[in-house]
Amino acid sequence: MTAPVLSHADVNDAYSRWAPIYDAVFAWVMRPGRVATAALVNQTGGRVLDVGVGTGLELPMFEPHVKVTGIDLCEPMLDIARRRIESHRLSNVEELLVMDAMDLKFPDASFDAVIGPYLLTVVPEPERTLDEMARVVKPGGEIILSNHIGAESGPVAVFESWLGKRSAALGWRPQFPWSTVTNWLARRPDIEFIERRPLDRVGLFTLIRLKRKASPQSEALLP
Amino acid sequence: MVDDEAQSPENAGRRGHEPSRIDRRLLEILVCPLTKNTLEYDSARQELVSLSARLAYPIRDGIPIMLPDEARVLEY
Repeated sequence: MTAPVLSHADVNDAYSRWAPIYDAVFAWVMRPGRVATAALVNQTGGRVLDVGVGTGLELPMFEPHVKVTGIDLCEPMLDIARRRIESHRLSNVEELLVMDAMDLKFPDASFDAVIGPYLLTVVPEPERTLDEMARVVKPGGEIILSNHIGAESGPVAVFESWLGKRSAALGWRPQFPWSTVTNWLARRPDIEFIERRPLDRVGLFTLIRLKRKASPQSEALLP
Repeated sequence: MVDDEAQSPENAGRRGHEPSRIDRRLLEILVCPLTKNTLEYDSARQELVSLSARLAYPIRDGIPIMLPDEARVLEY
């Protein structure tokens, strides 16, 4: 199973259309991943990059000692996130920026943790996105992803295959294979796999935790 | 040209919300997408400026747009 192709324009167009109704449609079903991600980040605190922050559904879940920077490719989604920050008076969200997840504008090792709630299914190149997330997280810091992992077989796989042909219009890929993550990990010895955990009983969504190894060598290079 | 504090009234948010302050910290950690050099904040024009790349990235409703395609080319 290969990941269906998505372009930037597909994603931006789709999410510009989704923005006004995104919260009504997706807030509830995708809440467990956001709650689990925020709980992990709240334990460690520090400076966190939220890649694909979208409408900012998870922003009120972070405790004040977590300082959040959020990026998204889709400006209309960030407009909603900004209004959420204002209405919840969230002083720990430091900045929102329109940025490409595959081309982050932050120097190496800028954040204590990097999160991607429901991100990998919507980026055109998931492995390049993971490379960027690994680059900007500090050694010893975690990359926390929540995602739909495509079924390998059975009726769900057939349905996802049908839905996969509509990826461009949907703005995401229903068939995201787990092998995308394992293939990436195989060529990144500096990244440690910590955990893969189902977020619901049907196994619709999965939480994935990765860690950039704290190698003495890479730390010595940092200022 | 570079000013962390001042906000001109005509730029103070198109939709009636408070203009976002561009954090000094953000300017320290953001780099120009093309040259990887640091950026300067033009509060009057609401832009983040890369002098080395001769590009100005717009800030719309307090949200910097860090996409080279959206940037304005500075005149020499």
